[in-house]
Amino acid sequence: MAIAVLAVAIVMAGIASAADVVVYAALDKKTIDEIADAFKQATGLTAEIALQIEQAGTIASRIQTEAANPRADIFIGGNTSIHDGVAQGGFLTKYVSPEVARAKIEPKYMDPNGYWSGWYLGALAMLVNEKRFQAELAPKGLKLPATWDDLLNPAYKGEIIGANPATTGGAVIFVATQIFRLGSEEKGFQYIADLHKNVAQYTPGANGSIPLVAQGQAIAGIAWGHDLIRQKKAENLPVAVIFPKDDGYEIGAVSILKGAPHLSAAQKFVDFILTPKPMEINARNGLRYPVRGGVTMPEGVPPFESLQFVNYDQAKVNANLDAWKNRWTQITGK
Amino acid sequence: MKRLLREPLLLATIIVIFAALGLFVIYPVLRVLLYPALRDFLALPGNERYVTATLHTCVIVILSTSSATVVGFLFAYTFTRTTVPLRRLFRGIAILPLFSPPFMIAFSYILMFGRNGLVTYTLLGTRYNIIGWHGLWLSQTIAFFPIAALVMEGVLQSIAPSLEYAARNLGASGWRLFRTVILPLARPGVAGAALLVAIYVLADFGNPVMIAGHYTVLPTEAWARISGWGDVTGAAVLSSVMLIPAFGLFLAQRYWVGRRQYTTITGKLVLLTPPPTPWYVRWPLFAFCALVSLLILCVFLGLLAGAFSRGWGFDYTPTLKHWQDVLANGRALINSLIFAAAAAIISSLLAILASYLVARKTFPGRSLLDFVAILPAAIPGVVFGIGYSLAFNAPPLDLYGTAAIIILSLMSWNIPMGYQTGIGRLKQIAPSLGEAASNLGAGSLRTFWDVELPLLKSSLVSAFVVSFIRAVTTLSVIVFLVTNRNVVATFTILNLANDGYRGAAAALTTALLTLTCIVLAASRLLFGRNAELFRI
Amino acid sequence: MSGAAVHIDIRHLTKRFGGVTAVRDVSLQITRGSFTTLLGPSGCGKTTILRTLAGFYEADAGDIFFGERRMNDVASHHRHAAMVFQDYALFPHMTVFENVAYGLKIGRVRGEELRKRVERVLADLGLDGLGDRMPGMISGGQQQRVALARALVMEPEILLLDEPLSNLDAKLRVTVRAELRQIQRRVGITTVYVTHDQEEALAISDLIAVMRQGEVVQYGTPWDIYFTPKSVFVADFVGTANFLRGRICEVDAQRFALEIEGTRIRVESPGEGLQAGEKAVLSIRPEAIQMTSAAPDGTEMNILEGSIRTYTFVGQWVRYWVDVPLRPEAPPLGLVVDVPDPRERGILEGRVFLRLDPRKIHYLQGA
Repeated sequence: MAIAVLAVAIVMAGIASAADVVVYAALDKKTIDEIADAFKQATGLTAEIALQIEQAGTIASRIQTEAANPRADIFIGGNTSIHDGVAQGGFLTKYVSPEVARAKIEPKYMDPNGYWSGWYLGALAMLVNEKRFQAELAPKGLKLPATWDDLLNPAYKGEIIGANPATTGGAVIFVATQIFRLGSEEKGFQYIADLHKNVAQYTPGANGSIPLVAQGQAIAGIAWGHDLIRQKKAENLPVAVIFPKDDGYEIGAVSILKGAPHLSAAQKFVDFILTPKPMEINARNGLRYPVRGGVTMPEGVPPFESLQFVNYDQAKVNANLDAWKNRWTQITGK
Repeated sequence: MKRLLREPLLLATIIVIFAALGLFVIYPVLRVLLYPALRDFLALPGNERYVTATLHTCVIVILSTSSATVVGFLFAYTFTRTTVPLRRLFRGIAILPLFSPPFMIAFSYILMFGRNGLVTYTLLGTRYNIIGWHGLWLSQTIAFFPIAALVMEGVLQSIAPSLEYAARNLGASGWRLFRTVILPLARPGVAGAALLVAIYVLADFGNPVMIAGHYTVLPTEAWARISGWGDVTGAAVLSSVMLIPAFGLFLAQRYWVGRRQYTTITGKLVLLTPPPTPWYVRWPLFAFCALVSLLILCVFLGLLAGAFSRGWGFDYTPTLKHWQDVLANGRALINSLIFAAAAAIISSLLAILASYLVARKTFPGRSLLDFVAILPAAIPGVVFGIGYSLAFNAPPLDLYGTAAIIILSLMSWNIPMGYQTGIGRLKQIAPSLGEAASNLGAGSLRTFWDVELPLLKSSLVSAFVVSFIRAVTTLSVIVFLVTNRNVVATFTILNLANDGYRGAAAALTTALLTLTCIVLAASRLLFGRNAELFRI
Repeated sequence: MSGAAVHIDIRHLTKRFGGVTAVRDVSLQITRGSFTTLLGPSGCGKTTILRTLAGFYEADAGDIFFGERRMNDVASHHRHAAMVFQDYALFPHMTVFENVAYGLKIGRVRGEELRKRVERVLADLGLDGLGDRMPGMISGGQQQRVALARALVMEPEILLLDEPLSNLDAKLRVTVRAELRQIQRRVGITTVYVTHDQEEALAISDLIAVMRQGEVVQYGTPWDIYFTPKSVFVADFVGTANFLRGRICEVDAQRFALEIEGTRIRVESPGEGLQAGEKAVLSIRPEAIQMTSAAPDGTEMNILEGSIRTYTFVGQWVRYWVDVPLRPEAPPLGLVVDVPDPRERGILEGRVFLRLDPRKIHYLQGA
């Protein structure tokens, strides 16, 4: 027991922070560590990564519970809907970096209200279990799906894994993509209804289909392309990755917390994020696309220009979020 | 009350325990309950998703609790009162599910029995869908029956064999003997076990998130609010809903068990060995325990497969490459063990002491203490996390980023286990033992220390073990409290799994569990024959 | 009782449990050094009083004094009134030695003195050599003696015993109670003993308080209680009694008579306060009735003729149940008769003559 108390004392010591800026990151560890190193080299300032967890919603929740006494300065990673939510709650501080004008970053990647700055894009992709496809569907004369509509083929009945828009933004973006692609809510939800016939289950997370399709629980799924490619390389997953035309994307953001203890250093951090270096790191590790020019993508990743996106209207999405989620629930019963 | 004033030390102890529970259990929970506004609560019945989740939760609680209690009882009965062969082995295996992190059991079963399952597809050639309420039922039964077994074990063990001999002598045997003698005497244990299991099923998050599929339950809904949307308010509302059935379950247990004394440990001791079990009872029990044990071992098979194979679920060629990251995460592993040990020691002592006070002493607020001691089990781990984050991040008690905040949250979260075990055991220790000590001059606390505590040793040890394991493997409690300065292994595992490094996650999990076993084995050596957890 | 110091003074003690009054306004004075037994059927309140003396219950009304000191608010662990429990309450996880030493350790006795005192009391009670055994490993009789040793080693001023012999076999019970009495006399501890066994109470007590439904109905020496019970209940509970129910007739200063269904029973005892014609209950012990097969000569008083219904052979005597017919329409009078030294006369049967010794008939109460 004495040992435990001693250990606790040791662990509790050294609480004093020597960092210049404290960061909560919804990115993978490798990426954010490299970004922190690059930040130090570029500015001489130390960034302490106090929290690193993939789910941006969890970080957003912590920001709220810690609001009485904020310890962190920066919230980086996670898509714009999350940052919007936190901003609306009054937990963020406005900051528009001069780097935006200097690099001529398109205004659609920045928050019109000035709370967050977009710095990467991620695209949706389809994944297919190659072994099972070759064994079961290719003999029927099917080719790998190339468009969203290809997934409506009855051969996929019970073999598609989707995601639930009530629990993940990725699925919301998927639904919105269909609506924008087909031109109206009616047609968009008709697609959802038709696809529903083929769906085996909807996972709570956007990338829930990856392990299931890789294991062969289903033949096809929908996930974030960058995560898909990264995991495929790391774990040698037997899946094919397809970016269909009329694809949907998310914008990843960075923002400054209200009451940040180190405000000016935080602003320098945001400035830094909008320079090419961190975006290149993110691209290399996370395979996410930069919002500005001047960044090279690693091999194996389709160049940004080759992707075809729908005309995504974020404002419309924000306005109809709850209505669309409810409608989705009515159709699927989930 | 006058009596209490005559024993200042006892009074001080009661006050300290109240203060500790008030500050570390009630206050954080209140912070969570008060976080949403009234209209958020009122919107609840209108939200179809929430209502469905509530209904599903009710159903699965009934199903999983019943099956887990029955399985736990059969196991406990087998290893305390029968001569079934290999029962020691079964007992050891029965503890194993407690070692498994929340999502592991469900994930392994998907691996074994899913559409591409080792058993269902590779062996049997069917495409069986394990996702859904039935998969959840299976996972929760296996996950929680050890809790029931541990609670009931102490109770069953203390029913003197002479009672059984007496009943046989009077002509009772088999089912009638069981129904009229063993079962009624085991009632406090069965009730306590069922209550505890029900509350844990209610708050269970790891299993449903993996295997329940569309069968949404309240904990997964709450978690989804947070991890998907950053909606702390919604999560707080849902968690508050969970407290209502918890309260109901608690009242039900009190009503059923009542205040009767089920004394079988007295100052008079007669030792007899249990009567031999007839073959038509022995072999079915053996088969049953063997089957359940296999199901348990499947879980760990899945874990090892993941740690040592190149691709979890599809490429089973062996490799060691996942183990490189384990060393890099050494700090997190050590933190996990130290925090969990500290939390488990404090929690089990506090719990046993509280159970003694409630069972043996009268004082104002006794029923309240009884309720608060078991309350943490009804609260989903993530709510504890939120509550601590809200409550202890700012002055006057600012514990942000410290080891202390993690240790305290783990400690509070694990109190019910030790408390319920202590209460069940104390019902069987004759009050005359404590009276004798008092008669010879020992005050209340001295009596506790000299007489009741030694007899509660096995309860204390089992409380420590279970608390330690839960503290090491929990994720939901600490996810709100971890920073880079006090990071623990489960957090790292979560990140690895999320990033897709499932093999590394499995390897780190295996390392964590191995170290946990080593710590527990070491403590057994320290406590020698008093660590009765692994004794028959 | 006068002149001797009062050690335990119970004044108007009342104790309730919920709606039940277990002890009702009981006042009792116990002198120093005496062996007092609380005797009664279960539920009479005797154990409640004992436990209240020990401090496990708080009085609802009334006071308890040990000497001059009022004990109502004194905690049980400060009372120095050592108790032996019915289930012995030996600490199962301590050896015999440790059990006996426990109270001493709390009282801060250590080392050599502790060892000596414990070993002495173990030897006194015939428990030498058992010090290292666990309570589960010794016999019931030995366990009981360890419980006693644990109390006695404290050299208490007051000893409380809660039916300590009820779980022993009969022979052992007799031996142990004799030893108990010896030790008590030698050391002179004020002792309060609770039992439902009237034979035991008669054998060891200086004074007996007979209790019924929460009240003390008679408090006196065993002799008084046995030979001059004050009520039907006491007469019946302590020993066996034959009850004669009838009307008083012929009252004078030295004697009176009772008429039962036409038969007259004479009693050699002052008839003060009695009036002819009133109803009365008399009692006579079985050993006070003489039984013969042959009719005695006519000068004897109180001769009844009857027939033996059944008997029990006790060894030292034979107990007969005899039916004595009275008036033709009335039910026969049933009498229990003990005849000593059976070897002398063998077992009697059939028609017998009973003589009720007029000096040994005791007036109990009006009907």
